[in-house]
This record gives sequence, C-alpha cells and structure tokens, in this order.
Amino acid sequence: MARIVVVEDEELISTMLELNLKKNGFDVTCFDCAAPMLQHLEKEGCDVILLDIMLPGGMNGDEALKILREKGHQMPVLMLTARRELDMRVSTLDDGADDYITKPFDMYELLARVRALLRRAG
Amino acid sequence: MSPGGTLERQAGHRIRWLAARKYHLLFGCSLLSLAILIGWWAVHITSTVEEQHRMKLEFMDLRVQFYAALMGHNNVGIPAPGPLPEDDRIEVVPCPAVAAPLTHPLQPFHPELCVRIALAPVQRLQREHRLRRTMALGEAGLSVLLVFVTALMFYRLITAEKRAARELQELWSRVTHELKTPITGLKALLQTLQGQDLSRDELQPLVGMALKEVERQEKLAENLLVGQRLSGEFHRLAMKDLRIVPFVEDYFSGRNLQIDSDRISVQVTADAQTAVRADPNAVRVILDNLVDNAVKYSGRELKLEVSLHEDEEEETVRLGLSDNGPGFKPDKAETIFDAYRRLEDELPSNKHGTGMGLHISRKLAEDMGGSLKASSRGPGTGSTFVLSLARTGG
Repeated sequence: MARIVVVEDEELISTMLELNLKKNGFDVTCFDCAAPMLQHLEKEGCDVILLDIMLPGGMNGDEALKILREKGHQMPVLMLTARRELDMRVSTLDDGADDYITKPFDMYELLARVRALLRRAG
Repeated sequence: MSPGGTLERQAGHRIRWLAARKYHLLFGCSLLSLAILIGWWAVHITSTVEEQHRMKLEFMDLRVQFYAALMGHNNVGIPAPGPLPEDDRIEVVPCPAVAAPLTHPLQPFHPELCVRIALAPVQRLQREHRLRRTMALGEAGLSVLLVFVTALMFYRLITAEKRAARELQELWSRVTHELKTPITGLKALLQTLQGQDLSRDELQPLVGMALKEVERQEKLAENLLVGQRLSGEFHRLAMKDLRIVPFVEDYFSGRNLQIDSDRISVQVTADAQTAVRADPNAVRVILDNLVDNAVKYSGRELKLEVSLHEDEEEETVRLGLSDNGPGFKPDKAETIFDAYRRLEDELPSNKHGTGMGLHISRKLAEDMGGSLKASSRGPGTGSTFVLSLARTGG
C-alpha cells in the first residue's frame, strides 16, 4: 500500500484529503506543519508528499521542500497552494517539486495526479 | 541538481535582480548625467566670467599703453595729457609713487611721470567680477540642489507608489487565499459526498467543519464590505443609547462564539443601567474582530478576560479584552490599526485575515465618538484592546 504524507493546516481540506486518499487505498499520515513531517520522513519515509505552501510553525512548504531535497529524499512531492503566481510555481518546481496544483483543486484530478506520480516513481 | 542547472538558476537570479533594479539604475544614471551636465555648465560659465574679466583688464592695460605711448612720443617734450584729466579711468601720477603692474612710465621723455589705471575702475571691475563668479557658482549650486531635491521627491513618490502597489497586491493575494481556502474544503467535501458513501458518524464532524468554513467566508465578506463602506462618504451609523452591560453579557454568552465559554471571564464593574452612545451593529463588528483575532492567534490555549468599567472623570465606559496570545512589540501599538496591515514579522504568516479587521474596528469606534487602543508588553505576553465609548445619561 502506497504511503502518502499530507501536510496541510486547513482542517477541512486535510480531513477531506485523508478521507479520499484512504478510500482510494492509500496509507495516509497527516501533519499540520512542516517540522514534524521532516522528522517523520527520517524514521518512516513515504512514497508521495502532498505539501501545502503556507504553513504555520515558522517553516513554509517551499522551505521544507528545499530541506528534504538537501537531505537526499527523492520521493515525488505535489505542492498544494492557493497562490497562482508564475514566480512561485517556477521557483517551487526548480526547488524540487514534481507537480503543482492550485486551490480550489478538483479532488478527482488530485487523486489522478497522485496516481501518476506513483506510476512515474515506479 | 546538475551544475548546469545551478548555473542557469544563478543566471536567472541575476537577470531577475537586474530586472527588479533596472528603474533604480536608470534613475541613478539620469541623475548622475544631469549632475555632470550642471557641473560642466558651472565650470563653463565660471571660466567665461574669468575670461571676460581678463579681457577687460587687458583692454584697460592697452589703453594705458596707448596713452603712455601717445604722451611719451610727444616731440615737444612736454606732457600733453590732453583729455586725460577728464577721463576718470586713467590718471597721470609721479613715477616713484607708482608700483602697480598696469602702470607705464612715460619713457623716454617724461621719466618722472607715469600713466596708470585709476584705482576706482579697477576696484569696480574686481567687484563686478567677484559678483558674477559668485552668481555663476550660486546658480550652479542651486540647480544641482534643485535637481537632487526633485529627484528625492520623485524617488519618495515612486517608492510610496510601489509600496502601495505591493500592499494592494499582498491584500489581493490574502483575499484570494482567504476566498479560495474555504471553497477548496467545501468543494472537496461535496465531491466526496458525490463519490463516496459516508456514514452519519463520518459525516457529522465534516458538516461541523464545513459550517466553520462558511462562517469564515461570511466574516471575510462582511469585513470587506464594511471596509469598502467606510472608505466611501456615505456610511451612516445608527446611533442610540445602548445599555452596554447586558449587551456585552449577551454577546459573550452567545452561541456563535468560536471559543468555549469557560475560556472567557467577564468582569463587570459598570452599573447595569449604564448606557453608551453607540451603534449596536458597529460594536458587534468590533467585538467580532477582536475575538476573532484572539482566537486566531492564541489558538486552543486562549484565555480571554473581558472587563467593563466606567471612567467617571472622562465620562466613558471602557470595554477591555485581554488575551494570552502572542502579543506584539509596544512600538507597534498604532501600526496594527493601519489598513491591510498585519504583523508579518511577529505573527504566523499563515493565519487567515485580510489585515482590515482592526482598521475597520478603530474607524467604527472613532465614528461613534469613542476610541480603540491596543497595548502589549511585548511578544509572547498577550495583548489588551480597550474600546472606550461615551457614556450617556441612560
């Protein structure tokens, strides 16, 4: 069973992601900020990360992405954000994100993108 | 990442850096060119003045030489000053008394006499020369100063415009985020309901969360509308004598509060019959914003102390709200009321809000003839907001 880590501080969005991913047969772990996610990856690892950009706790998603790439984690990362600016999309993809989806996203599309990332990762 | 990719990124950063600063570079170059031009012009004018001065002196010297030659070559051997005594610019004096460079002895026939320029025109010429040179330098200096002052004014204007544009962009970015986030959750919920069979137990908490999101959206819309109304000319308040004690007690026992009632303590020293001159809806908007901020920044550990007392001297009623949230630096006590302002340095940047709540609240308080002030001893020490409203006879 593929393991998905969701980092999203909005309770309803996080809950809906968890519920839908679980119903689609994934093993899901949710975090509302980035630091515990990084600790979790050190111990458990995962297959795909869904990472929000604006996060509490002093570390945004784009910063967390840089750190986990610097540490050598190579799993696919799908960024979730309400921000559509081209600069943000380009810099996030340059920093190591594999895909980018803007809010409000379509749940079916998001699930399809997760499946595509898992397929590519083999 | 490959070295090529790093190089490309560095080049990209460099290009972005140049693009971001191209107006500064252009502005600086224009300013420098103008200053150089004025400097060159000042040097040119000064040298022209010097040249004129030198030519005038030479011309006078030539005249002296001419007179000297004329008189010296008088074959009769007698000085024939002729028109000289009538000319106040040239004088004939005994030679030993003269040592000026522009003086020419009447050689060889009158060695004891000299022709020289009179002192007064030389002094006049010197004065005129000094004045013209000073004027030229002064004009140049003034021009440079004017250019720099104008440039400074333009720079400040442009900086202010850019800041305003950036703040507006940030506002819209926040508003967009605020609008999209609840919609994302609700859309995800509806799509889930469409595609999945959920039990009643699964559904119940989701509906609660969805309702919270709808309320959040409602508050955002309300704040934006009130903010827009306040910026217009024709917003009117429905002022009346409001019995503030029951109003506040009702408010904090209300079902719509986002916090449990055991986290709020209300201390009332004001008389129950005390009335203030206020618009109840405006007071409600202010309280909504203050409580919303306290909940937003203090989280689950929030403790809210509400106090209500009368100030006999100022004839006001003071409604205070103190929380145990993150607080702020004391010097930010005024800036937090600016429109679209949020304390990004000190507060978590992910928190919801447009930065309009406190601005609207203060504006409403002032429009009711009252005031809204904030205080904090510093980050991590909580904050206190005091709404003062004018007391009436009740």
